[in-house]
Amino acid sequence: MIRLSHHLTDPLIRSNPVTLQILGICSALAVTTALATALTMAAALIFVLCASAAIISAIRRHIPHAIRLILQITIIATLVIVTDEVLRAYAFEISQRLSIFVGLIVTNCIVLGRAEGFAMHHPVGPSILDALGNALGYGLVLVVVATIRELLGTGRLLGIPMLPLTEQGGWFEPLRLMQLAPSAFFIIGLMIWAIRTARPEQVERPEHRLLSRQGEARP
Amino acid sequence: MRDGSVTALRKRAARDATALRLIALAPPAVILFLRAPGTAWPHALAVVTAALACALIFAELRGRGPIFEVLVPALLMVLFAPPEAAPWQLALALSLALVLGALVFGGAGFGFLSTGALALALLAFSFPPLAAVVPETPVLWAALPGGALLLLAGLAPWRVVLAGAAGFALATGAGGSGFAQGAPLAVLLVYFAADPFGAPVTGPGQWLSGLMVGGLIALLGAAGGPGFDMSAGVFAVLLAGLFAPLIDAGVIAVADWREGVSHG
Repeated sequence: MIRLSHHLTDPLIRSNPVTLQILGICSALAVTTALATALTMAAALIFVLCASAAIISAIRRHIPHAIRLILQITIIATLVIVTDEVLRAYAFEISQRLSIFVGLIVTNCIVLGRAEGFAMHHPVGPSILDALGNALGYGLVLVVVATIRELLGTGRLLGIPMLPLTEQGGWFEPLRLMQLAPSAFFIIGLMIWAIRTARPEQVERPEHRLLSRQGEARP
Repeated sequence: MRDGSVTALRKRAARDATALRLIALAPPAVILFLRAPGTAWPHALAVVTAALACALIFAELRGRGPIFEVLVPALLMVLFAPPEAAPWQLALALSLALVLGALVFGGAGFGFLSTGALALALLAFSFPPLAAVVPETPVLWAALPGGALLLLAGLAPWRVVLAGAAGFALATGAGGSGFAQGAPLAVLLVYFAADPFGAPVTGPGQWLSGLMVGGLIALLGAAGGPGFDMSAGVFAVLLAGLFAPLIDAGVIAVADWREGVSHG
């Protein structure tokens, strides 16, 4: 088990799908205005990713190579539709707030990426662990971004007032910028910056160098 | 002025760009401090502290970089921010704009947006009623000589300003605008649109970008009423600034292509 556990822990921060591979950005900025929607989205993605990895890995030797993408998408879409229907049945309000983004998990690059890149070549056990790790890594980014955005943008967390607002006599003035989509880019960008400062091996090679006045290049 | 002294001024400006830009902004700032000391001093204190703190941290981390350049957007912020804004709100918006708009790219001259416009836009986004305002008339008057100095020194590309005015006049049907429209427009164009780092660097690019800014100011400000809408102007500058690198790349590509055609 210890031998396999790196599949689970690696994608949490070191090779996080959002901050290292920059995947799943679209939903990461759409559903993170509130923590409740981010948690729901993370749960939906964990289910879809793990289930699709398990199914695809189980039948990987029977999938004809030429039509593997169609099969993967069919399996993923089926799972997404089930998730969407369950959400509509048991958590209608939150499914309304998530609108199309649960349905769009089909096109989330993380899901297809793990299916094609990992589950197609590995047994079921490691595939599920890898899927769970990637989904948790995605969920972690979502939760962090949503916490910052909801807390600073509205002064609340999960709808519960946390900071006293100025309109109610407190000291906190909500930052409306945090409720707008660009702030998710800012926060994710700053997170990537922080992670790459801590792990310099993730930094890409610079495309150009500065020339000093004497003409020699410096980093 | 003789040709020689303009050349000397431009040489000087290339070396001491920050000093010259600060000199240009000094008269309106002084007038503002005299007229409204109650709001101007706390604002100035907050933004200068925030700006210098950001610049110093980054200079320390990177081991390079001009520090005092950040005072230019700080002063612009004091001049154009609404008086009812709290000092910490200005400081927050300016720090965000400086860090995300210039310092993460490597400091002054490496970003591609006018940080002053970005700071005012972030202020308006973060705290919705606090949109940029047109300063009082004496402050506006005091800003004009500095603008002329910047144009003469080549720190504000004159093509952008001229094309901006033309674009605005074309888009509004050249209605007799007078001082109430002209002076704020001129100040906006010189200090924000003709930012030495935000505006395009190619000649045709500057004409295009100026026309775009002018047209956008007229387009975005149309709903604002009879007066000049400074907030719309700031957003117009920002929007046009996003296209500046693209315009430059297009102009250079066309020039390359023509060179290739003529030399076979």
